[in-house]
Amino acid sequence: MRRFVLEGALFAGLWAVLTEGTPASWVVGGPAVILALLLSRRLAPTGCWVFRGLALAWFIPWFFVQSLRAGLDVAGRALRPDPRLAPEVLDYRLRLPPGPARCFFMLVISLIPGTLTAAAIGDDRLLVHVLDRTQDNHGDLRDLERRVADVFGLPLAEAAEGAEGASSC
Amino acid sequence: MLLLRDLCSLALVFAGGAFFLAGTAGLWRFPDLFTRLHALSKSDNLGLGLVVLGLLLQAEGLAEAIRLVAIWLLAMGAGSTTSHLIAAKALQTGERPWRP
Repeated sequence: MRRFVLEGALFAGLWAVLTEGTPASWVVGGPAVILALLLSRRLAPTGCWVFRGLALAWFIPWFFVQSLRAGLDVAGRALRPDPRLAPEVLDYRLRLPPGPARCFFMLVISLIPGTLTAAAIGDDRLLVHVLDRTQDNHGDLRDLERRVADVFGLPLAEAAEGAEGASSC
Repeated sequence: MLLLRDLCSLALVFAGGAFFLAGTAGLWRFPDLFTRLHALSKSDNLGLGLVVLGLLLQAEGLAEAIRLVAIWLLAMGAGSTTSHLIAAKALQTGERPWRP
């Protein structure tokens, strides 16, 4: 119930922000918020989106730098005569537990340089497509996973054990 | 002072546009679906981020600034999620990643 109210407030707030609070827009916005709530109940992973403020404050500038690096990297390859692509698919063993933190991790993977989530397999494996296998993509993924774990205040299971409950996304 | 701010805005928005163009070049030139998704997700995220940053300098009031950042965050989440879904479906239906 609490989650329902919080999410409703979030979606309604987002709508108000995007439409500058124009009253007439709620003809569309009201149904959209209700639809989003229903979808969220069906699709979103269970568990709380709890961020640790300090860790998040540390994560954001790091993410900006990664976005810049990722964009420059891919733009450089797109414009060079020889893009020097050497793709492969990595089989990555997840250490984060299923739930919001894992979803967030997967969202960010596709925005940092050279990696793209391609599929979640079973409980603890992730297929990641990489642009250039000569780079330390596995190390980058582990580094990102550690940072996400810090943001959510979660421990990392070295060998993921007993994954239960929540669905991954 | 005002001129400097306008120039910064202009530079940021143009830089953002350049990344959108580069992403499109990647879409054109990269060999398969997966590499093209790389090009789009990263360059669009950065491109839109720079455009938003440029517009933030012109924002009148906090509400408008929040709106711009919200647009960026939503587009980023949607872009990354869609990339994942397209890649997952492609792998599932047997699309083989390109190898040199």
